[in-house]
Amino acid sequence: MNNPIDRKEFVKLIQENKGIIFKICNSYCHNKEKREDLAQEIVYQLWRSSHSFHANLKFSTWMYRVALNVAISYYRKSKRSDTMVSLSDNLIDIENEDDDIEDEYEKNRKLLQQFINELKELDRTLIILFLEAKSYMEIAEILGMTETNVATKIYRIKDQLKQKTINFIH
Amino acid sequence: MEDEYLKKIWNSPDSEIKDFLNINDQSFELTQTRKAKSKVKSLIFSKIIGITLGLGWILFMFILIYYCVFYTPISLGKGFFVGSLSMISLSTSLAVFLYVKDIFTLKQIDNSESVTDTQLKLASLQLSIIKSVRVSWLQLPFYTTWYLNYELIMHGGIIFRIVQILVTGLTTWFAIWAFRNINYQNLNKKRVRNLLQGVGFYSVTQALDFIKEIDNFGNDR
Repeated sequence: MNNPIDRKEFVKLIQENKGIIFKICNSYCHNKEKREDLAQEIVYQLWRSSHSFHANLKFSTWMYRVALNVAISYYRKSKRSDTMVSLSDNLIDIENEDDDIEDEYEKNRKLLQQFINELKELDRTLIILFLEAKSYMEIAEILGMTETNVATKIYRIKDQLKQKTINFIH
Repeated sequence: MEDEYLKKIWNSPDSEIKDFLNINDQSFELTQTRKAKSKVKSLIFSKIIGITLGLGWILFMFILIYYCVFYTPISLGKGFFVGSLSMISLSTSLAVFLYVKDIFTLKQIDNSESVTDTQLKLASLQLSIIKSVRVSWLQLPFYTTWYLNYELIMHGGIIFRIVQILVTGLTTWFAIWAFRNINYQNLNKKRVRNLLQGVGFYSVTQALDFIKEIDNFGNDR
C-alpha cells in the first residue's frame, strides 16, 4: 500500500492520540475486552485508510472521521449482544460509591460518560467532538452537516445534560 | 454544568488510558495481520456465500437446460421445462447481480468520508437484502410449471388441471404480491416481516431506523 504516512510515524501518531481513541471506544463500547478489540479495529482502519489522508484535510478531522465511523459501525454490529446499562441504575451505583470516590472530577467524569453512553449514536459523536473542543466548523466537516445544525444540536444535548444533572442532584 | 467545566472533566486524566492500546512497531504488525484476517473479510464473506450458492444453482439450471435443448426432441414439455428453468435462472441471476453490486459498494465505502455519509451508505447496504429477496420470490410460480407436458395437460384429468391452475395461479399471485410489497415502507406489516424473518429482519429494521435517525440528524445538510 502506498501510504503518505510512514509506518513509524503512524504508530507515533497513534500513541499521541490514544487518549482520543480511548474516549471514543469508551463511549461506544461498555465491555473492557471489546473496547480493546474496537481500539485495534480503529487502528487497523486508520492505517488502511491512510492513503485517503491528504494535506488539505486536518489530520484530526481525518482521524475523527475514521475512528467515529468505525466505532459506530462496531457499536451497531454488537448492539444486540451488549446489554445497555440504564443511567438510573448507574446513578445508584455512583451514589453508593460516593464514599470511595474522593475525587470530584472522577465522579463527575463518570456521570458525564454515563450520560454520553445513553445518547443515540450520532448525538454521541457530536458531544464527544464538542468536549474535545473542536470548532463547530470542524465538527460540521467531520459529521457532514451544517454549522448551524451542529450548534442547534449541541445546544439541545447540553440542555438534556442539564436536566439530567438537576434530576441527579435532587 | 458549564461548558468549560464539562470540557475540563472530560479531559481529566483517566487511570485506564496508560494501559490502553500500547502498540509498538512489532505489535502493530501483528494487529494488522489479525484484523486483515477477521473483520474486513467477514464483511464480504456472507455476500460471497450467497453469490456462490446462487451461481451453483444457476449452473445446475444451465446444465439441465443445455441437456434438454440439445438432447431431447421438440415437445410441449420441453417448452415448459426450458421456459420455467430459464425464468428461475433469470430471477436467481438478478439476485446474484445485486449481491455482487453490494460487494462493490462495500469495497468503495471510505471511512474517512463524513460520518453521516459513510453511515448512510452502510445502513443502505444492509437494506439491499430486501431487493434480493423480492426478486427471488419472482421465481416461485415456475417451480409449479417445469414438469408440465402434453400428456399431463391432455390426459391428467380434471382434478389435476384444477389443482395445477390453482397452485400456479396462487404462486403467481403471491410472487407478484411479494415483489410489490416487500419494500421499506411495508416493513411494519406482519406478512412482510414474516417473509424477511429468515434473512435478518431485525438488522433490516435496525438499518431503516438508523437511516431515519441520520436523516433527522442532518436534516439541513
